[in-house]
Amino acid sequence: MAITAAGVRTAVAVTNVVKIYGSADTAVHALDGVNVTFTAGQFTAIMGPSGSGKSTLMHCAAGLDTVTSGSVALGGQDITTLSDRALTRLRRTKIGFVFQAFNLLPTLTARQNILLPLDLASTKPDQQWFAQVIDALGLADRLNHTPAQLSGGQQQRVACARALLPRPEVIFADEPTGNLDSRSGAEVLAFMRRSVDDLGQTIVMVTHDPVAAAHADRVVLLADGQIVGEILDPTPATVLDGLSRLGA
Amino acid sequence: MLRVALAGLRARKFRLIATAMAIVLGVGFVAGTLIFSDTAKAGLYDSVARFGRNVDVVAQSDEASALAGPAFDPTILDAVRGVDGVAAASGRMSHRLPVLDQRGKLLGNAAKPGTLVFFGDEPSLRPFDLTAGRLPAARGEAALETKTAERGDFAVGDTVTVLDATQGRHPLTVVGIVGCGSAQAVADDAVVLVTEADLAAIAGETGYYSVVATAADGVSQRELAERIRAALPATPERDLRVSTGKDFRFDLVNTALTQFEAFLYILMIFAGIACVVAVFVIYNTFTILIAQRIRETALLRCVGADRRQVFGAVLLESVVVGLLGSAAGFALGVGIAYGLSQGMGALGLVAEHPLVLTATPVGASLLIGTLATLVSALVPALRATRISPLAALGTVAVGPVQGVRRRLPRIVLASAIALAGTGLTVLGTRQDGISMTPALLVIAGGVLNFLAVLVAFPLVVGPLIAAIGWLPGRLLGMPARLAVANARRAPGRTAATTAALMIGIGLIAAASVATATVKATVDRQITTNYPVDYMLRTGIQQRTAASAGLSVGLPIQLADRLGADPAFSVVARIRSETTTIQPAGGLDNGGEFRLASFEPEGLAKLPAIELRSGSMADLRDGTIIVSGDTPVGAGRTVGDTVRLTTASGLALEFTIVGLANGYIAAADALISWSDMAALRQHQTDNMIFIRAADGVSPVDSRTALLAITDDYPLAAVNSVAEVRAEITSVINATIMIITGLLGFAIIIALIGIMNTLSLSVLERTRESATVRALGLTRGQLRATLFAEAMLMALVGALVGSGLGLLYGQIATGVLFPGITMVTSVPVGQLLLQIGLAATAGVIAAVLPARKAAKASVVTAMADG
Repeated sequence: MAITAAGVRTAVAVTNVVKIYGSADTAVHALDGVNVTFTAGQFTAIMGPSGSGKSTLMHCAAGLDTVTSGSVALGGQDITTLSDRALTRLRRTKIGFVFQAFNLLPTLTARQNILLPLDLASTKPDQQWFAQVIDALGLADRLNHTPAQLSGGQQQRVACARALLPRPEVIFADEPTGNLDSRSGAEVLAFMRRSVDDLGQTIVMVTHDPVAAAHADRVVLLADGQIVGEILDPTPATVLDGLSRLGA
Repeated sequence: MLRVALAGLRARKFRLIATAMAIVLGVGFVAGTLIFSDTAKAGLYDSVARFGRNVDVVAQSDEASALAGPAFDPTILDAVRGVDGVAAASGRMSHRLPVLDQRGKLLGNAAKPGTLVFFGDEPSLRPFDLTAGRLPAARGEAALETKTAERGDFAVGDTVTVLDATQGRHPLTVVGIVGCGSAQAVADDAVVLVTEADLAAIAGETGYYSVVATAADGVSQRELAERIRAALPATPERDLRVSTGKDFRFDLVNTALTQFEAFLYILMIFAGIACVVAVFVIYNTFTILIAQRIRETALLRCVGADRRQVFGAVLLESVVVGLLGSAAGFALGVGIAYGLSQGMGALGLVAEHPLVLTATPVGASLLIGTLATLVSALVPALRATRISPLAALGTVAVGPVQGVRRRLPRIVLASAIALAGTGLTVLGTRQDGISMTPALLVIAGGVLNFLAVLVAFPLVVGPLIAAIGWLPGRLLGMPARLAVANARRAPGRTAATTAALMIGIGLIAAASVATATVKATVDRQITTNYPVDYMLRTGIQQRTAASAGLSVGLPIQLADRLGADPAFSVVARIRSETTTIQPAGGLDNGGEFRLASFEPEGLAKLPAIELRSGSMADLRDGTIIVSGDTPVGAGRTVGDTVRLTTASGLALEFTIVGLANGYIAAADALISWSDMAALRQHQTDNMIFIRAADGVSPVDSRTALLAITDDYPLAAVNSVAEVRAEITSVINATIMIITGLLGFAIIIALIGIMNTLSLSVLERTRESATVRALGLTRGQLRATLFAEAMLMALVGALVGSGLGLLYGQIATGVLFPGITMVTSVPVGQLLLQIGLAATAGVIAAVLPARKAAKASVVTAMADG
């Protein structure tokens, strides 16, 4: 099912991943032998009904959660064997996150929030790159505001800048538009699209919104912990169609 | 509503324990003090009871203690025996005389060098039990009190030596050991029971200080007292008071209690401080709990709970927590009281007695603990009522950083309180005279200023944290910077948390500064006024010696022998005399006035004694050098006339030619040798200043000194180094006791830090998960919390130390009026205390940090 073409690099490879919560009678197979690769420079959406395991897949692929069996390779490196400390260090520079609830630190200004991963890695930001990202997100005059002083759309744009600034191998976005009105949501999605097209960023997004998914290059469909389909160059219509066939 | 509140409590045992811990400790201290006090008092009753055993009526002076008092003519015993209704009567005799141990050293202490007693021939009225051997029956025989025998390592058959008034030696054979109970009067004295004949022969004592009687059957104590009062001859000089045995026992206990009650009082003050700190901690914990339960409370409001019910639920919760905490605190108090009475019993400070449990400590503990909790919960409960039902519906994505509302009223209020506090303090320092008023004013001022700091604290705690956290932020990077930001986010919470620590650290700092200042002041007096290596003094207090009519001076031959020894370059005799002085300049500084004089040959060889003003060289007949730094010296200057009256009524006048820094030779003033000789013909010396000759090592000079003084049992050798060491050890002990007593308050404050952090960790679950996802390692997350705790502890310790520093200095100035204090700031000690507080803060963060770091990133994200 993986796309393999000459000159195409794999950013994240998920191989035979099983994730079981609980044990014995109460065991829940959240992921049941998932194989999927996320191509570098591509925008992938993961979709599926509630409880299909899409968030779990994202957490495992991002090294936030451990897998029961199988392997996850990030940029060719197996991350399932890494220690918590090594994983944490990896996340600072190789993985970016955008959350549904924005998850900015209320005590820090927008600028400090954006620079947080780099500060944790004790690296200096590339000033030109910083300016470019801020400019693209239209945050230049909001940098010294605290999250409480920003609108939801602005907060999510700050979160996007935070994810993008370290030029990570991959950005994982978990329902990034879930808490936004449609206009702000569209802005964020447009920005994500541009960062893939113009900057070559790899993005993996979990969503249940077909319109949001239509911004992706490819939609991976998940049900009951297994990959059940994929839609290339999706439109809201094809996505809806794919989802409804899952339900059937 | 009741069920909701109780179910909430059951469901959150952690919260319960966190809140209750502060109460448990505070109440534990209070209960411990109360139980210990009851137990110690019961012990006192027991120990003094032997002196009142079988006593129905007693006749003695008001000044008499159980063991000694002014003596009355022996005929009063016969007078009592002749009263109708007296079944048995006995006369008690005693006389203070120095008692020597088997090595020829003083067995008692300077205030109680020894007492010879005879308690009469009536067995039922003897205030002792024979524990070994037999009672003295013939002259030359003695029985020792158990504590005395223990201290001197005496057994039956040994010889004990008594010095008479002219220091003649009287060896007595120990034939028995008797126990008089553990009354304080007996505990540190050297009590020797002898025959009536020996008391007369050795001490010249023939009168009774106390006559005790047992009533015949059917005669009441009161009735017999009346009859005896009527039968006794009038005693013109001293008041012979007849009282019942019941009153006698009560008086005995009361006398013993006065000293002890001061100690209990201090314990209660520190217990009170611990409770105040506990109130801070409980208040803070409840505030945070309410803040965290906003959604829960709003839901209750949604389903129909009115404000009053919400208020009631919070108060009910506080009462339950208060009751449970107080009960546990009482149990802790029993343990503390047991430890205290065992420990102090072992040290001989209180009579050993099984724990006494009465209803009062139980009631007081439950009441204080529950009330304190209830009061602490009032404001948080009010806040809970303001929660809108809408809050149940909203999803708060970003916990807003709480600012401080209403800045201006806070500033105005703080300034007003600070103004009042400073005013009282200044007023206190301006007051003259030796009374408690200035001290009370300064204390009140200090409390007000502390309150002002509390009110203003939420405004300044943020900038303070930022300032203190700047360096760690530079050095440790992101975790420390996050800690600074977190510590600043809820200034009210941080302020209340650190204020609790501020109280304890502040008081310790004040005590450190005060004791260091006293030490430095005494040190300066020693250096400038005692330019010698050794001082010889009599080992018995002047007052004690005078009241017992003892000659305890240093024999003249002692200085002669020392002067002949080449090991010493200077041997200066000092003779002194007590007079009374008229007050100067409207000050209340008259009264007893001790004069001293140096033998001129010795003084000439001593290094010059530094004076504040005037010159030692001007000291000749008719002139005087007065201590300038003492209450008596206050307001006197060079050129003034001092009018004195001697004990024999002679009026004298001297012109002041110099003012000294404090006391010289333990006297208020120096006069010339010939003036002193004119006052009184001294048969002994009072002090001898000694300097070792050049090239003689301290060890050699000491050996030479002891070789001579061994022949003079009452000569106490003080080396200046020893005096310093003694002061240092007293100061260190004081600091340790105060620190120990404040330890409770500090532990409670640390629990407060732990509570605040634990609850903050809960609040920030999602935030912590986010930073973990963004690349903060578990270690760094822990470090963030350690740094936050350390910052809070540091702010509390620094501000507390600052206040303590200020008030420690002011207080010493007020407590020692007239004395120019040498202000000393024990920088090292203060830094050590601040460092320890910071470390303790980190320790308080261990559990919350573990909890935070253990949380899985994914679940934390979901829970948030």
